[in-house]
Amino acid sequence: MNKVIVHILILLSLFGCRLVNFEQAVKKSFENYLDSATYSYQYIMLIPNSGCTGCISEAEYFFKEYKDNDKILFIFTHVISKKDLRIRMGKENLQRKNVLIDNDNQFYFEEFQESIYPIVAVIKDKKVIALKDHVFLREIYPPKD
Amino acid sequence: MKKVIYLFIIFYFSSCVNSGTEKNLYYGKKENKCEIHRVLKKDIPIGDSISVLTNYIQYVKEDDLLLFYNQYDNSIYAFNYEQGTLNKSIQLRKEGNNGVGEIQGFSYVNRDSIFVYNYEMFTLFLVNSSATVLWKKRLPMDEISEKGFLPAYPWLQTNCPMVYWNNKLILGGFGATESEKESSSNLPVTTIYEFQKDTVLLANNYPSQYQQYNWGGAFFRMPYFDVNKDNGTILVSFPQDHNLYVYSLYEFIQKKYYAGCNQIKQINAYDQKKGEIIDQERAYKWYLNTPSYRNIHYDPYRKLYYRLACLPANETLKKKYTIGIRPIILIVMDEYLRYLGECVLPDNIELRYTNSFVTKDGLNIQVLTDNEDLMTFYQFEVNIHE
Repeated sequence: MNKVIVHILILLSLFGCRLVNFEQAVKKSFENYLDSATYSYQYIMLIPNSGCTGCISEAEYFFKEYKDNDKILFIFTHVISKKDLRIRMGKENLQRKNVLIDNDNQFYFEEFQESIYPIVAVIKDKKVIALKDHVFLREIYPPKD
Repeated sequence: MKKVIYLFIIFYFSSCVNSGTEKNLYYGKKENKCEIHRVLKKDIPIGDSISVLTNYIQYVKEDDLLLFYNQYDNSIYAFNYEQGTLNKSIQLRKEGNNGVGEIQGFSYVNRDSIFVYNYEMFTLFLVNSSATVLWKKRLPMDEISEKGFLPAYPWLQTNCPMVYWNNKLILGGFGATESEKESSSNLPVTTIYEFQKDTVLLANNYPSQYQQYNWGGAFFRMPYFDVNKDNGTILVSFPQDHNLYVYSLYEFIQKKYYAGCNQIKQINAYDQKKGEIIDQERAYKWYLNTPSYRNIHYDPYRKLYYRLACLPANETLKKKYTIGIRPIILIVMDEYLRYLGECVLPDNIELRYTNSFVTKDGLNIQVLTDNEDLMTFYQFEVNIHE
């Protein structure tokens, strides 16, 4: 009987350690990063370089419009070509304090299909309180035209 | 009780989707008569304003020119291939009298004749090397599409190019939807445009498995092609078909040739009925884990054909690379399209197989490297054992 309990406990501990979904994985990675960050961002926009082409174009367009908004941290992840990103987004824009290029894919989770979409994390007290679709920020920050 | 059992059986079978399979009849049966090896690494310095992720490359044999389209400045850059030096850049205007908008691809014939194609305007332009527009013509396909056709509008990329041949332009497209209305004759993927007469001839419908089963829609159905200018044929490689389809531009007939991979036993269709909304994420997962065929190239120097195939995504490669996550097979056929052999291309480099072309040195395939100021190609050559 004791063996059964031990096995169940081992299994539970194994499952307990695994990041079982995309949201957990993203939250964990952001919170690790925010611990060492010096900025108090309200939002983090995570933009993958490949995946849902239309959604990524929208997110990149949003970046071009609101790159100077210091409430938003922009992270470009799963970058296939840094040069291509630089040409597309502008070298100076990528050197801004609120822009991070995720060279090591720390914020890209290949095992989850959701990784192909840009997302927005809402931050409060250095904690991620919600993950939203990238269009969420469009409601707060409309097109500048 | 019997009735209940019958009902259960009927219900059981009707609830299963016959997703279909394309079996390779010659799986593991073909003898490998050739060796494929890398002969050279070719670096072309492209400066800091041209992206290595171009979607359109053309090699011009007669002038030994390699031309890239750089979408960020709407320019075509022509490099001398042997020397790796910039020969000419042509910045296309987006608006005005010489405006062509943003192009998708081009066909360079000579300095005075460069055809460019704007997908959104569905329009072809003839420009010269000063980017002056000599004429523009919208492809005359609207009328045809009203007659029950599901037009496969041309979509250009390096492995689905625009080819100039005998005063005609040959373009390829694809049917993006998994429609129940698709038949064996209403979705041709090849557009042959006779620009002097402003007429189009459509050819090469999808094979029957595309009408029977669901293949995930969109780019998963995209056929690739090349033109053998020596004998006036178009070769079409459908991604989920072990055969190649050869269309004669002289006789206007199509023939089928086996051109499968010895390592692909079968290709299983996406397990959903046609006409239903496709879950893109699920379809993408299916696609990555299902083998399929890609580019077809004619090698005029050696009278050979090369076909590429992708095996299911590989966990090791997934961790290593951003795009080259599938093992790639190169299949070689002789001038009569008889199988000569195949090999898995090296996986210690990130191959961007969509950009490949043939030169006198062999088959060139783009490789992504850390130095993005160079456009890098690996050249592969075939040795045949008789």
